[in-house]
Amino acid sequence: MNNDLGELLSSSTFAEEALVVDVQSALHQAMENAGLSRADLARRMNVSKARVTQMFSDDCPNLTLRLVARAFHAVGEQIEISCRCTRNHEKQADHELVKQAVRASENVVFGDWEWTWETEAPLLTGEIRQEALEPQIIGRALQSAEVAWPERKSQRERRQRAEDWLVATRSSESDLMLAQAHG
Amino acid sequence: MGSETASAGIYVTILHTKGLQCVKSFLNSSSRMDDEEKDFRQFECRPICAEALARVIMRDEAFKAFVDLEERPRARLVRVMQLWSKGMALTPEQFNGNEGRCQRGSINRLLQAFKTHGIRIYGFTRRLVGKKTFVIVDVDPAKKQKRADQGILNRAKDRVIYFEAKYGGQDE
Repeated sequence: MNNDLGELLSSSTFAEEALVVDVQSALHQAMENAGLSRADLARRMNVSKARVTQMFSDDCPNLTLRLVARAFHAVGEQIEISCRCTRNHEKQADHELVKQAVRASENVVFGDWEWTWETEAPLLTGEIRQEALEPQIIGRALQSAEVAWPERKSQRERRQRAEDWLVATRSSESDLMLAQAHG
Repeated sequence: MGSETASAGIYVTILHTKGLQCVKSFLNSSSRMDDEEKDFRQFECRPICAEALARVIMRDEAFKAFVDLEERPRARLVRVMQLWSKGMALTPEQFNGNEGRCQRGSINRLLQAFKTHGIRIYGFTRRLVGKKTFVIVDVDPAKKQKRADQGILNRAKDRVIYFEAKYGGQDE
């Protein structure tokens, strides 16, 4: 189930629908706070009531940024767009994880490497095979990285989970052998 | 930067976003979800979303119908459920707070529904495992009509009564 939901939550469809639902909900809340009906909003925006109804519909094909801004302005609110920039925060954390993973599995998978801020990824200078760099191998690397996790208390559990995950994704020792051969 | 190393760098960037994220999210978040799942297995339910004050869970039988829905309405519904958990205001198009009462003996629950594209996700609210919880019991996929299917509506009410008869005394 979590996998099903996980895929959905990381899809572009979800990103799209989530924003639309958020805007509709926020506008609804703003109207309630201001004591405005949809007819009032239509009057204030100088549009038909049908157009306002459409803004709250499931498909809402007319929900442009301009219309959203006008709607909030008509209610007496200002809308602010804030981007959580999740990727940036994650990248920072990922940098550390990748570094630690690379360090921990240096002899196994990667060979020589150096960090580059230009591509924000490890720049691999050794000769490597792409198939050696599958998630299973990274999982193995993280699993063996003693310093990878801040909560040392649960390190053993996490390592066990990584092991389970490797088994579940049918990672085999031959993957590792292959990696070693080209490391 | 040579093309060989550049391509290696690019490849790692791809891995960085896909593979590592996959590993990381598994290691970081699965334990919390696993714990939540274990909590609700006793009720034959799965957690959908959870916030500080409220959560939404779904009965297994409803979940089967839920995963069969198209991606877009499913995405929309999950977001609406997330907002419900956060206590945000929902529009009448998103949520119907009164789909009728489910009454039998001492059981008396209000059936409610998350909605989109004519689809209705029926459930009710109660306190469960220490938190306000919306328990989804049935899904009306609206294949035949946009209006509520009375057969499914009645089945949803029966399922609420069944759930309450079985688990009613717990954590209320």
